[in-house]
Amino acid sequence: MNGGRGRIDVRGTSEDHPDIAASLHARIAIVAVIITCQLWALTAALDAWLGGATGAVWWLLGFQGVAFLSALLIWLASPRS
Amino acid sequence: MNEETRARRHLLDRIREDRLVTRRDYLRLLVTVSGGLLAGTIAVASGIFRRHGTETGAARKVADSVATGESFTFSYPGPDDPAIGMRLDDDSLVAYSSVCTHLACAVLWIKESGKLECPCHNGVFDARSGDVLAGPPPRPLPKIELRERSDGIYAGGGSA
Ligand code: FES
Repeated sequence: MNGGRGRIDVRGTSEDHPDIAASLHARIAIVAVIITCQLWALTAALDAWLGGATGAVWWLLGFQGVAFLSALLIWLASPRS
Repeated sequence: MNEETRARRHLLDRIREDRLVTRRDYLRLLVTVSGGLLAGTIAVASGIFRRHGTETGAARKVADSVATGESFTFSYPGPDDPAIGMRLDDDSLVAYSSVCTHLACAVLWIKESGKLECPCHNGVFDARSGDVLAGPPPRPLPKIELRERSDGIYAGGGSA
């Protein structure tokens, strides 16, 4: 045992860049909500497809495309340093 | 600032950076999942899941005759598309895909009740319309057109 010598206390360091951390947290939360909606859209598309409602499938596919692009943009625009 | 303090500060900076990178990586993972869900929907729209009974085919003879209240089984439009046909009390002929729309068990014609029933989870379908009357099936049974000709009963081949 070295009595703690050489150890580094990192508690609290995640808030040393509070602006970046908050931005990333917000982005993660928004993308998580988008994914929840996408999960619903996938099940709805499968149900519509099996029920023969092909028109609804195309609408849901469009929604999925917009949702993915939004998530992609949110990620690409996230702060890097 | 001595050497040890400088090294310690440098290490702390790296750890801070790593923590932010981890969050960014997590965000990237979520975006990948989002892309996967988009790919899944594209797969659904491109038709990788088969729909029983919604395709049509050429007219084909499926039975010679059927008495009132009786049923017969056949395959239509393909050999892997089981179907059930019956002559109802008013002499009309109806046929449906016999693949239950819940979890794909075979539905049975119950003459006494005049309904189609799925034994797996007690799904019940109306024999006249194919609509769900009870149980977990989410959709009606797909209907198959039947036509009676002098030499037998034919399935499909366009509207009657
Ligand atoms: S498979 Fe028919 S009710 Fe479940």
